[in-house]
Amino acid sequence: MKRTTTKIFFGMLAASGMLLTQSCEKDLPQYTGFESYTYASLDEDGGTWDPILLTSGADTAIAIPADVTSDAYLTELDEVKSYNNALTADEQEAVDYWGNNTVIRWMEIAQELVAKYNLAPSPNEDGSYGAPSAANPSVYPYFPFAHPPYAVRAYAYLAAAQYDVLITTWNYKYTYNRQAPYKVDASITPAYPDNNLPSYPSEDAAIAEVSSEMLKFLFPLEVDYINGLAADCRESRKWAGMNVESDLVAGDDIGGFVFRQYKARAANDSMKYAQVDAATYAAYETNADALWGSQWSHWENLEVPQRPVGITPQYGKVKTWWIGNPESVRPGPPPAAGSAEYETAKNELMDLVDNATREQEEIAYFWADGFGTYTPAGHWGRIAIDYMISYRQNPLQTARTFAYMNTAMMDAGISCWDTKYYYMYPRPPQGNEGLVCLFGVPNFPSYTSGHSTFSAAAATVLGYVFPAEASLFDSYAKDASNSRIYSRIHWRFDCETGVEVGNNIGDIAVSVAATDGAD
Amino acid sequence: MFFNRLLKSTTLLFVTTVALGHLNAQTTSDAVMMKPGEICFDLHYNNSSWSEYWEGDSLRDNGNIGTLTTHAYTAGFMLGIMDRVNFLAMLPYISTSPSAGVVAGDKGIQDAGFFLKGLIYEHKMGPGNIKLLGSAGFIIPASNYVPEHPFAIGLGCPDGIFRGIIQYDAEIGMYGRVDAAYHLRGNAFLDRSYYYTTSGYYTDEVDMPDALDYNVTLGYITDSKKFKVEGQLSGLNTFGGFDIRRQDGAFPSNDMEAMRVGLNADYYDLGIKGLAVHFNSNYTLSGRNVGKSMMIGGGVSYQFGLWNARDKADKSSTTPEAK
Repeated sequence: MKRTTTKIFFGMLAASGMLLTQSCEKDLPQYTGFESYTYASLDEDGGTWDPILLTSGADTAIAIPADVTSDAYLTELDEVKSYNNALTADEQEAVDYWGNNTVIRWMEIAQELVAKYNLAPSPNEDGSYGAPSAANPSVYPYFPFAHPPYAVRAYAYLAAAQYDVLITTWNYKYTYNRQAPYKVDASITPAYPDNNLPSYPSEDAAIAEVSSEMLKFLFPLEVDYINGLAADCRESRKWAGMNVESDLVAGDDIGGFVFRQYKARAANDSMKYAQVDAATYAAYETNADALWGSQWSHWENLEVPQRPVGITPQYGKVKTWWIGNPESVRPGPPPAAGSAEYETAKNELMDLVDNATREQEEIAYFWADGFGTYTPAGHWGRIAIDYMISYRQNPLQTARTFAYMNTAMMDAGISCWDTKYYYMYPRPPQGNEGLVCLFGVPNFPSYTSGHSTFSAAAATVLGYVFPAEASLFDSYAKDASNSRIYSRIHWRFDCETGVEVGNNIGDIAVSVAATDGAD
Repeated sequence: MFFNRLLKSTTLLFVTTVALGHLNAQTTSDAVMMKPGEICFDLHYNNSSWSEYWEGDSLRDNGNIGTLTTHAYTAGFMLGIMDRVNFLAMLPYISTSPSAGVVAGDKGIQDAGFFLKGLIYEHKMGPGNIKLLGSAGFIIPASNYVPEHPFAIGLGCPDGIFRGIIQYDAEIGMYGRVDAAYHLRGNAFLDRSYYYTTSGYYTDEVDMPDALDYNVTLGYITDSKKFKVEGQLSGLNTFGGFDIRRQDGAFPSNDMEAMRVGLNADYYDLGIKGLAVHFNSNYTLSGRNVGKSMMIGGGVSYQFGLWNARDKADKSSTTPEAK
């Protein structure tokens, strides 16, 4: 009897153990896994394409490279040969991680930094809130608060600068045509698929330089972390047999030059005025009261204690990339309180409070992209990466895709914020008892939906780059837009108008991209 | 677009233990055993609430939550399989509701639990008896609930629980018990495919930290075996996990710690053989990434002989403590 007892007991123990250990032993992915691949094209004329901010790929000059038969070059080549088949485990890991499209890795790093810094200030004991300060980034609340406007600007500057860097790099690659170490010396085995891309200047060193400088500028508390990544990325080119030191130095120069141009733009794009104090903010409230008359009270923050100012009321005045003055794309007014359209939208949300399906909730959570995440713009970057890989885009094409997608999304954000603080339209729960949400309500006005505007702009640009997938991207944008209705964060008209405006802005960006020389 | 994700229910951990700790007639962590052929049905209600929680190790309140109340209704089933082996199963329905803010609570069926419990060793020692028991089994989400709902009803992962129990019964009715369980947790799944803990993850899968829970219990049972009361100190610790950052929401794989003190009582003299009522409570003294909760619960159980035991009904246990 006793033996049977023991048998059953330990049998159950073993069975439970097996059930549970199956799933916990694998490592979860911290970046998009991909095997380095053969590029679909090399785009030998890429150096002639139109940059975003530079005037051309020849804005800065770099040193004429030493000949591959020179002593200077051969010394550098020896260093690369010394790594051949002799990498440490860490070096091999770096070669595998960075792969042959480092543009993707730097965008993922940006996504992670955004997620890390995307937290609103916590209330103080007395119910007031502190504000992050660029001058004192390490004093709580830490700088930056990477909310969606900050995040999309970070992605846009990073991506546009990367694209300009690579146009410049391509220009000099095909000006000097110096071959890669593994082409010069057949004893070197490249870690990545063989290609005929000239190696001077190194595209990856240039990307590491511009990306790391940009991210340090945007996330000043992360200097050490970013420096470590940049050094690892840069050195891995030698470990991989792809570049010699002088390739990297020339890349550093281009990256540094382009960063300085973008930093100058960023310093004067009015972002520093986007967050306002309570006194300046009062004017927005007065304007909204004048606009709506006595119909209702304008939008207010719904948190306890109430945040006195919404997020970046003057983001609508930040310098755009393609659309000019955002008022040119500002949509007409949302429905007035009590109108039939308003009541219909309200009834839809009230019904969802009790009757949202699990599928609708799943869409809402999938696209929530709230605090502690990479925000909607980061979500679209993540989607884009999958297609960049499956279409085997080279780094130049990858950077172009990110550049137009993220600058279009930033313009979408600027336009959306202009609209939000012009109309100051209330969120659904404001003044509507029982209209509760699936998760917290953002600290800015309702009309139009940022998710919808960002997503439609991104989907339009991605549909231009990957035309066979256009309807798929549109359906993703529709899901992202609807997710805000399912979660009762937004009115239907916020979302539908947001999609229209976002598509319009995406079309404007595409019209620029279509004539940049790449097509 | 980006939402102000309010603090999640940091009752998460408490909610998980609802399924484990508060069955009436016997639990996976006590020394009670039923005879072969005895069966018991059990209904229990727990009410837990907190208005403060630990964000990391810092205790705070949150105006967007107010007081979070969790209602848990648990149906339990216990069966004496053989002389020293019992089977226990349980299924809780849970609802959560915040008193402030604009975010809805959540509700639904939480995790189903299945356990075997065995009496491994029993021996006379000094003026009483010493018993060594063990229980093993698992809980697993029984519905598609959302583990990252701001006021989630559960952790959303399977949890294998392996417990050792040692009890000393003194002849004067006093008893002391120590038990501890290792929680071997499987992964939880989110509705999204990227999340940040202390670094970014490109997956919907969350690696959950294993955990340890333990109880130190002192109790008294009357001579008639009709009334039992016990005081309890309970601890819970995850192995790993990360702290909630300032103003961030809770996450299933947070580092969760709690120390609670509780009082439980059972009364068996209701005039109907096998029928009993039960009371339990606890209060969180200290913690990390959990709510500072006060919990009170009560329930009713009905136990009877199904087979075998019917023949020897006179010897069958009318109370859990009977030998």
